[in-house]
Amino acid sequence: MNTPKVFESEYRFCLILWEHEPVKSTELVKLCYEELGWKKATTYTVIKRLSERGVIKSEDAVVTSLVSKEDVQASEIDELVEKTFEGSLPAFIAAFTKHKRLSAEEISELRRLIDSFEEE
Amino acid sequence: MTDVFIKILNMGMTASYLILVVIVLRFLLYKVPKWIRMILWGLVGIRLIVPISIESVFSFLPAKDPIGIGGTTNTVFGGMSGTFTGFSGFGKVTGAVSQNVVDNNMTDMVVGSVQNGGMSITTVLAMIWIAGFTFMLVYCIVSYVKLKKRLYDAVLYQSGKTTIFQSDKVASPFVLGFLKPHIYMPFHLEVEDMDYVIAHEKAHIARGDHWIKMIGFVILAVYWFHPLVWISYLLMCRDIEFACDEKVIKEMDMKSKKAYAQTLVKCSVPYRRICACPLAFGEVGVKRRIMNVLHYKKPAFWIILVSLVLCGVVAVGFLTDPKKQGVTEDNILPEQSERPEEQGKTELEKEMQEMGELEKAEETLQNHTSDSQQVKVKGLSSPPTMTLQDSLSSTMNYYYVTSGTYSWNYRAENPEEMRSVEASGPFPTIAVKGQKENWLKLVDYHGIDFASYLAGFEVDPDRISIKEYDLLDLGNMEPKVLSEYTMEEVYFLELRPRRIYEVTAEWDEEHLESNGFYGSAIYIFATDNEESGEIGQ
Repeated sequence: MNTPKVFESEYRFCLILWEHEPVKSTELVKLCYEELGWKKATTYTVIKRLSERGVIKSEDAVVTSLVSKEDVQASEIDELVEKTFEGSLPAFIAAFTKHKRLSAEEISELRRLIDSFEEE
Repeated sequence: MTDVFIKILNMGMTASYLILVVIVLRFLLYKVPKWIRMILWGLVGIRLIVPISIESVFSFLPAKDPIGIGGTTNTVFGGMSGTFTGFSGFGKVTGAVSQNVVDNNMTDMVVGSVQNGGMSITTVLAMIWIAGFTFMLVYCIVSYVKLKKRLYDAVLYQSGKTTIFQSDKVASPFVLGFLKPHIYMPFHLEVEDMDYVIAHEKAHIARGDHWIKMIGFVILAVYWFHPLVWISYLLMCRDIEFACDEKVIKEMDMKSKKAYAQTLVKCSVPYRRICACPLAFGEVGVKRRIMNVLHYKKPAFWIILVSLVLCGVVAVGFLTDPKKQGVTEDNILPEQSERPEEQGKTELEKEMQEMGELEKAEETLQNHTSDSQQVKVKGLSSPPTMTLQDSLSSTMNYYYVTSGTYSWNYRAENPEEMRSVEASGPFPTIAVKGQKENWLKLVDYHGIDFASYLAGFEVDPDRISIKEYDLLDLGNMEPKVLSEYTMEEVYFLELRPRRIYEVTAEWDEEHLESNGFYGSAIYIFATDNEESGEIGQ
């Protein structure tokens, strides 16, 4: 999968979009102003850029996303593991758990994930 | 433009002393609260911006030595020497004459050089200076605009008195904007880091640092050629950060200070930016800042007091200029204004008043010739005294010559009418007889066989002609003329020792309206070596 890169500010925008889509662009402008403090021009610029990159699409002044939140998150992790952990996912997990305590719930959820992964 | 450039050069040179002192003081006073350093930088800024200087006996600045170069380049740099010595006398009234000599020279010099065909070196340098200045400004504006554009999608974090944004384009937090400064932070800061960062940036805004940095940058743009000014700017930026840190941690306990220091480490960024605009959190000398934070101790009151007094001393010592040196023997200085010792803290008003008086003195005739006039005159009622000044000397010694032979027409005021005066003095070779003590003693400069003297008048003539006779022809009514030349606008006389000089100055009738007089006058004087040679009476 080749999910396009989404930068942090754009990610915040996408969060709003995922929550409210499909949404009229004018409505989106209002939401972005309230939650991000963006001026109208800024929102439209971001819509344009993300459309060009294939992250979202805007038709008849209605905006929808082309990639899901999970896709973007997965892509980010991929990049992180690739860059910082030289492709080793276990290294990433180890580093992650070094600083953060996992709750019982999180551990069982992880177990489930690994199990479902193994089954594939 | 060239005048401005020369002025800038002057001010830059004078400021160099102050900058060096500030750098040394800054190093010595490392225990003192850092905001004191801002006062010192403020003094440097004043010295670099304000063109008017006040004289005082308390000035630490040495009497200025002009750049004197013999030979043909004298015309260009000689003028600059005129400005050097001149500026310390700028605010002082020792007779209308001296002020004009200096003032006119500055502009005359440049005009003269241009007239000599082609552009003078000074004008070329001035153009280079303007180019550098423009480049600096353009660079800053462009960087600022580019930065603002990059931050277009910054996300609002907190609105309030100061708006705080977050952006993925921000590596290290900073303040941007002047009238409405905003704080920009990166996205993923830990909560406690964020608190310290915000506190630090808010402190910057509260202290007005964004303005200080901008003003500093503009000064730097003007003095882009001056290495000490660059050093000052960079050091000042560091001091701004130190002072800001101090303000934030002043009331903190050791635990918080350590946490703040940790935040500094986390947010430090390897690269540096010189642009005036953003006040970044982690850039400047992080190691030193951490040390300052961890070792901070509240300063004792007396330390602050002593530092302030020291600043005051520095201010008086370096914001004021040294008094002019005394005047030479000959021809009594007309009006040595007896001023009381000027304190360095003379108000600017007094300065302005002096200058106003000076201008009035030029218009209404002051007694600087031996004639005393009862009648109020509009123009000079007799030819002005000619002053000769050694252009290579660092002292302000003037030699005065009055005219003994002249034909003069001036406009009187009460009643309004034109008057004529004539005087007929002795022939040159006779006139200087019996006055050996009053002859102009020329200093022998090695390698130069003539001395270059600047001739000045209260009102510049339209031309002067010089005739040179040998002193051996003393008493001879038909002496041989050794040399003869005329000059307009630039009055550098090449004087040799053991000569008699006859200078004829002419003020044309076409300037009657602006001058209030016209006519011609002859000034006669003799020159001798410094060690008096034996020439027969």
